[in-house]
Amino acid sequence: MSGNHPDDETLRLLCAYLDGDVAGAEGIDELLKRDPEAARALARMAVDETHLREASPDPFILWHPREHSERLDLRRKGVRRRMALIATAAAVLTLSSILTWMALAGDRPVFVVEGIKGTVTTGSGDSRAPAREGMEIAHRVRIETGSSGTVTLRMIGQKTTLTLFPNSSATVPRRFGNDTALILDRGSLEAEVAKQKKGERLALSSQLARVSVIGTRFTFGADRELSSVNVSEGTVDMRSLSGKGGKVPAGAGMHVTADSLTRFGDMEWKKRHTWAVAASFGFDKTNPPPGQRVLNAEPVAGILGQAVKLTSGKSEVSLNPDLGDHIAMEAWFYLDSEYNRLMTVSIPERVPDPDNRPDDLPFVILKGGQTLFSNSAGLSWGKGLICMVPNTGGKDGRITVTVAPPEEHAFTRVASAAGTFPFDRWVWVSLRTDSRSGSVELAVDGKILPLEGHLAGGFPTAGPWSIGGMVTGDMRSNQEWNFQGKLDEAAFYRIEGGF
Amino acid sequence: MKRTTLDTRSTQEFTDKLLKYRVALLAYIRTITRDHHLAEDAFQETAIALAKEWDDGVEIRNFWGFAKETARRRALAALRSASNLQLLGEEAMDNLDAAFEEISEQSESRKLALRNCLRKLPFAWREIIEMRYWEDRAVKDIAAIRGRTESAVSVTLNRARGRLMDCIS
Repeated sequence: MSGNHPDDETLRLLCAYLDGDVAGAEGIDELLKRDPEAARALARMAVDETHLREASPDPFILWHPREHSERLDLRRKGVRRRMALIATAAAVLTLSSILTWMALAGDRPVFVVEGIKGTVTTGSGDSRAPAREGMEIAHRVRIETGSSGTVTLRMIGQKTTLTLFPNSSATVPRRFGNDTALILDRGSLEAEVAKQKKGERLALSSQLARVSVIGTRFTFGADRELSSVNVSEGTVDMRSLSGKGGKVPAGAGMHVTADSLTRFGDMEWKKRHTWAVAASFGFDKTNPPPGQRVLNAEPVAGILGQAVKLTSGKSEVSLNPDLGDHIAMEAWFYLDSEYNRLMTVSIPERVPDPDNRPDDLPFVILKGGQTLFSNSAGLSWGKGLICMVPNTGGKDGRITVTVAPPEEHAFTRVASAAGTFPFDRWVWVSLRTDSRSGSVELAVDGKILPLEGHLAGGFPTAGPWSIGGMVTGDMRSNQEWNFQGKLDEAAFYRIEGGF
Repeated sequence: MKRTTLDTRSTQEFTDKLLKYRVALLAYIRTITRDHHLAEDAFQETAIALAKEWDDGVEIRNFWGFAKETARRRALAALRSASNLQLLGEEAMDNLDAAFEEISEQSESRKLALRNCLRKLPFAWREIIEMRYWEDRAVKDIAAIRGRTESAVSVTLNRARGRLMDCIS
């Protein structure tokens, strides 16, 4: 041992000894005999563990039900005074432990259930019972939602609400040494956090990360391998177990795994411009907000809580946001390389362009593609915008953005380089454009991509907008242009001012 | 031993002294019995024995020293009655006695530091500490609940204990 800190082997030996592991503690006698520092470390650990145990909910009980003659021989003279002394000692010790427990643990109510849909249960340990509105949730209680269940919890004493989405589980932790309001074991929740008192923050935790907020609205998701936050309003602070991370502003998010930390959505334009969320999809709630449609989309595990899987020709995700000329849209996509390969013709062909299409684009048009965003309201690259990943024979793709003005049957296009859109993993795509000037900014996983070509201004941005397919009629039923994969956390933004 | 009348020594004085050294005594017993439940039993026996001695008017100049010796006898008796092996020889016990002599007065300050140090632990480590000490779960149960190997849980638990000890010290 060096100084006060035991080396790893000494620590292992001391811990094994205290844990009653006889085999693992071989050598402990020799260690303590020759190393007084090790003996000191053992003494410190034992004292600290005693304190830890006494923070448990069961008060220290002095009296043991075993019988002893000293205790039970009530007929001996003077025993009453002795018993009084012992009883006093017992009472003082028990009271001390109870007070310690109350100060450090405390099972007072923390939340009240305000809204329930579907199956929601609460309980602690192995016991479970249906939750009901108005019931109070105390420390050490776990709340679980079924496949279509949601529950809204309001913090007692403030207006903060946490809505747990389907297939989620969360636990209200103990108070001792813990200022976390809720631990998200799995699934996702949406939080609307009231402004906290000065110097105070609300904290939520998962297995991998901790999110602390002062007052804001955000979504928090967790499973065993990934924790994510997506902020709608305000700012949160999210940290991994190693303390990495930081502030996440509105419109941005963060993913934390055991090995990595990734920011998304934190685009520069969100700092430079005044913007508002015109519409958003999290796909966690069973019913989409008014004005939004989700049809024939299978719920699947997503990047943050639940996502949807779109099947060719039958699925629809559409919305009608109030957008101006300067707009942005973003979402998480998961495209399947095998589908892309199957949909690609074996011989690439260059399509002659009789119209105003630029002829210096260094790529060939292959058969079909997977539409990401579109408000195109017609046939053959109709009026509006189409953002898609053309089929590339299964190799990591590129993204094209094609726009057409309403008056002319003509289109202009920009495209990213080949291989800039990876398949077979979640990818975050952000598109910003000014329909008056044709300015465009395209990003994948937060990195702005160099683009070839140009967009002409004058294309419409009015809805309805579709995510994962063309908007109308023949194009929607034509699976060559429909998205085949998973979709999560989509948002459309209205931005003030010029590009 | 010199006996004094009980009137000169109050019950309050006894309980004050016992409370002062309670955690250190319990921890001392724990290092001998290696089992928390055996340690609690032995501590009860110790407390009763000390109360009897106090009531009998036995002069106790060094309460900690006297209590520790009583605790040692009760702890070894508990080990024997549970048929558990005594792993520490006399020399090791002497070093342990000296270590507890130093720490017996520091128990309360360590408790206050523990709270702050717990907050500094990574969340996953804190959770395992909670499951081990507050819910009294065995390492194999924690491993099953968290979906990890027993070895991984043991390593994490040991690291957490080491980190807490460093932080508190």
